[in-house]
Amino acid sequence: MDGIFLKVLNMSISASWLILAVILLRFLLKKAPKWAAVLLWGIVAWRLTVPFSFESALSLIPSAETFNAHNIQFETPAISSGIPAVNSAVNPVLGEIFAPDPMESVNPLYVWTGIASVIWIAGIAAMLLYAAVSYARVRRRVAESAPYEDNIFLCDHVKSPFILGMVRPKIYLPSGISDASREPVIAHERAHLARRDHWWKPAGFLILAVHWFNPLCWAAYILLCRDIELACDEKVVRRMDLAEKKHYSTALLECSTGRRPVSVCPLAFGEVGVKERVKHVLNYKKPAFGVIAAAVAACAMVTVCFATDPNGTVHSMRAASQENLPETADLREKYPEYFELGTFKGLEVYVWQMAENDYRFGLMYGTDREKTPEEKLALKGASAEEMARILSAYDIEDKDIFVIPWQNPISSYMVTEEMAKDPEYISRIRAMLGLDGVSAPSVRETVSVPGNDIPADDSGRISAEEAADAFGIPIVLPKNSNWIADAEYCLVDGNNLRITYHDLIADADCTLSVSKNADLDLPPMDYDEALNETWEGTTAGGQYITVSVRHERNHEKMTLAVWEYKEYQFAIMGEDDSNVVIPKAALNVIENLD
Amino acid sequence: MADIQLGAVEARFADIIWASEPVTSSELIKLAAAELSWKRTTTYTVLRRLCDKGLFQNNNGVVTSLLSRREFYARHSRKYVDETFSGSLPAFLAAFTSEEKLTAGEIAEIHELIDRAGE
Repeated sequence: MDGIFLKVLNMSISASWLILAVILLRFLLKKAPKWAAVLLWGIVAWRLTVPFSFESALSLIPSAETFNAHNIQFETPAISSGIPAVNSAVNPVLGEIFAPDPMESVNPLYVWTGIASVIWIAGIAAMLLYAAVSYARVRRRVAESAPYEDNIFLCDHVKSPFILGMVRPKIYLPSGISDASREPVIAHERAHLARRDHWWKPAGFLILAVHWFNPLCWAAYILLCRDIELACDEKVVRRMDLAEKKHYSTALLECSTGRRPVSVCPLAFGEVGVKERVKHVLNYKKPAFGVIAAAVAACAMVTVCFATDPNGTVHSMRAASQENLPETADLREKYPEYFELGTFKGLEVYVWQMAENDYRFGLMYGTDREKTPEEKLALKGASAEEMARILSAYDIEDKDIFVIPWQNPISSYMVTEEMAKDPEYISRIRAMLGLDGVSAPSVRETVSVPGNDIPADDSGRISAEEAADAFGIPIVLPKNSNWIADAEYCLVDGNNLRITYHDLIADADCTLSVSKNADLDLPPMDYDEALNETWEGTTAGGQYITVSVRHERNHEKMTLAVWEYKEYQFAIMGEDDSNVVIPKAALNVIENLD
Repeated sequence: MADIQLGAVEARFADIIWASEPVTSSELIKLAAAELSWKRTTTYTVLRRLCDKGLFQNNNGVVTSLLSRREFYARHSRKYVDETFSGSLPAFLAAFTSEEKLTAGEIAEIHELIDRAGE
């Protein structure tokens, strides 16, 4: 609903320029036939109702979209009126009053938009209610009528002639109308029917009901009603001589007077003053060809300049430039959730690979926290082309789009840690999405460094090979990157090695400690003896090794696996719901020993 | 007797009654439906109004006149009056003119405008 309201608001604002132009042109085209003015109002109506428009380099409309739904919902509120002075005056104030509060999910202008759209709907309802009630009253009044001829009826209870009905319109005349006035009046009403004014006027009112908040639309409707009457008069008197014109003018005057004045209804505004009409009728001459040509040219000019949108204002410049990509509308249907994201903290593009050259992309709003596995698993995998198109729908700078590699568990294709952190890998993927190929890509840490007792500096950090050299034995964690991630080898001292890693299956940070010729310095813990287990492993050399597995009494998840090999003591500690992942990691380490 | 005034449509309805009285109200409804395409409720409404004006009477569904057609037109000119009603036409109807308040001076001015045209 808010979206429709904003669309109507933007249409109303851009049509206002057209209305101003038409009002100006009406003055310039005083000599032109009035049907030209009615035609111009038709262009206004088209602009007010049809949600799409053509772009034109000649467009004089400053902006096709003053209020952008996306800006209002997520960004610092701002308008783009197309007039720099207006923007620079309004936007700082908007930004100050409706500054987004980081603690709130939406910015305040969005809330106000919601309230405004409710008021808008209420206004439409009031307008339609007025129409329905007054229509019903007239219907009741004309029930008591007598047929005169054809579709013409006499009625005691009406003051001036009018047409009622859309499909089978009937002309109602006041029964007291003088014989002299009757024929001119019937001619006028028949001209209305021939011009289909009994359709255009209600149609205009319907459009006004939707745009009731726009004062210029009220002005346009009032002027439309006047122009319709004048155009209708022109049609009637076109072939009349002076005597007939005088006769017609007298009928006009009689129908406007001679009756008691009624209370002035604020909505009976549509008609034009009888004096103006009499003058118009008496002075009417067939317009010269030159005048008609000028009027047609003026209509065409107004259409091109004010009924079209300025080039390249549709939502985003990027969208317009990527025309050969899949239609955004289809994408909105396929990935609706990717089009409704807040960009306050940037956008996060998660990328995973199903095969070597099969990249999939998921999109999420930016946050400071790491996304949960559930959130990531819910992502639909779009192609690079599709994601590029989706991103182009956002008004966001490339540097605020973060590309984050992710090992999707459903994929057997491994994205290793090295690949994920390789700037070249990231920039290649950013290039696929049409993002900055050159600027330094920003990669967010996907996993925080576990353990608090790790030295803050990197002085002790070594590679697996260096660890093997320093200790004389290979110390190897499982190679499956769906299982073990972020392994970091750290030499605490000459006899102590600490390897931290993230166990993806247990979703836990674990520590493998190895000590040579010394006892392991294990933290004091209260183990539940009843849960003690032993596991058997075999080294590459065929040696059996017993792994003792213990669980913390008050924190059953906390698991410790301890074993000895030659002069080395091993321990893996971490949270393990399954009770098997840490022991299995231990057996894997053992398998790789000599 | 107070002055009775009829609108042109009311007069047509009164003519139907004068032509066929005494007439039952159900017969009258049929006649009005045939001649004026009126609905039952419209006929009842107008009949009640004319009875209130003292032109007709309705005794147990039989309508008769209190004044004959000749008596009525002897006493009243054929000049019809406009019924007064409050409110004006809805803005969206295509009407001939609007009701507007013109002063006598303005009316005279427009009359002069028409008379002088073409001179």
